[in-house]
Amino acid sequence: MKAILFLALVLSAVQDLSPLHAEPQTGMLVGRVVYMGPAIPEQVVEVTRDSAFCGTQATLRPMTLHPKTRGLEGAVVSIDGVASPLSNPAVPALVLTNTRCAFTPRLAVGVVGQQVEIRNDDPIMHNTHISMGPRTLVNVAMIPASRPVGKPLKQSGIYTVKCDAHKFMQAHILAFTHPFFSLTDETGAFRIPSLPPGEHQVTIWHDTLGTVQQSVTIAAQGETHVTLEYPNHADARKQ
Amino acid sequence: MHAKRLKYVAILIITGLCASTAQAVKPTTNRDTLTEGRRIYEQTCAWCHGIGGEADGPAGWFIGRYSSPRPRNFLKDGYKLRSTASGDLPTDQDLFTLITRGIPGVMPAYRALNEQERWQVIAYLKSWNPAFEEEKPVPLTLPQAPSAPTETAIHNGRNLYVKYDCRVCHGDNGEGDGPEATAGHLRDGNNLPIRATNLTDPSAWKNGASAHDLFRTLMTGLDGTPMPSYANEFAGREEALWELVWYIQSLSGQQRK
Repeated sequence: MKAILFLALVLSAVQDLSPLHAEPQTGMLVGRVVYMGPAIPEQVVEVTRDSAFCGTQATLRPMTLHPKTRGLEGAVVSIDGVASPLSNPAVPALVLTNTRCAFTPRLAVGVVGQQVEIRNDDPIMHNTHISMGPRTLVNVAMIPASRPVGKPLKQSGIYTVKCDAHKFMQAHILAFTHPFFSLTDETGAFRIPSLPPGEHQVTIWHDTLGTVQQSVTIAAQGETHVTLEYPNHADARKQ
Repeated sequence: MHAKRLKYVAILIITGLCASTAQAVKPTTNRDTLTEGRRIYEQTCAWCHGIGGEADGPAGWFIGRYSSPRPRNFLKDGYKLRSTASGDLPTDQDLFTLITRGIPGVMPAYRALNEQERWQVIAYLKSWNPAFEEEKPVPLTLPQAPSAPTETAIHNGRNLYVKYDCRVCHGDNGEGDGPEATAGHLRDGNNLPIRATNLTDPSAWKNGASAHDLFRTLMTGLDGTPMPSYANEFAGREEALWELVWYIQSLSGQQRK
């Protein structure tokens, strides 16, 4: 009996040292989302409510392009279908603030279960309405100086954020069930770490240009560099 | 004599409640429940809500085609009429109450179904939405109304009505003719035009017209419409919310019920 136990311990120790139990190899996707088509011009809309504070006009910016790189700010790059459950669901809340008659940020990305914390910094009342299709996540009146309202993201997908009081206010929240996503910065750059090597389907989403997909092959180690180009917006299928 | 009359009224009220929305013995959900629920659903609900629950029944095709409300799509839509927080699913009791009472001007009351049949239908329509398996909806705690409204309380309620911009949709006098409503800016969750409720006509209030119904509506909001929840604003200030409720009731000359 003692011999069997000893043998089991030795086998266990040998297994722990074997390469089979080494940390799995992962790579990082590093890149830039660019848009070479004509820039979509800003839109100016009339403000019909609370104009004394919000102003008489609001400017809607359909896209922000970096002048040198043509990098697209505010695109979400993600890779679905990688088996990796979230290791730390206790992530900090996504803060969404009503400020100067706009949502800040205009685009937020998070994971299912993460809290969205809604705030109002304005001296006027807003009505923050977050929904996915016809289903409401939350619709709350936010009077001036009200306490923040929290609500967890219930499902993955694209949430629309509106203020029913001020129609020109709009934002989006994208929720994922995995950590393989990134939001492009002002130069269009992004990085997604800890990806298993091999071929993956990358999805890029932008609130004006819609969704496009592209294949990438992640190297077994180090960084894989890509440039993901949005087709001319007239050709992109908005979803 | 007076006590006798009170007793009689109390019996009538209790009997009425039991016969209407009180929670009957809910059958366990199993294959038989769902089979029976499906049979009843297809006889009574599918005409509007569709065989598959996708709001595409023969009558549902016409109802709400161009303006709200459409019949509920049990696979996709949220629920307007609930006792739970904004964005949450309704409780079973909410669904039971809704089927029992109906929705004024929209959906008939199904008291013709016995209570067990109503529960069976609820089990069946819930089976289409997996969120009912994952979420455990909890009703908001609604306090008892304090003493009867006073002129001062109603006056305070009017101030809240203005402060919280109720007039922007419902109009200065509550007739559903506020600037956002008349401009056609109000849309439901399916982007269909939706009217603001006329607060001077309680018979058309979809979520009930009692003081408690109004209190609940203000706390929960009506998901899928522009009507938000005011629960955050009135947490710990329920007295103020009652004042707003009484003011709204005063718009129709309604006494507290």
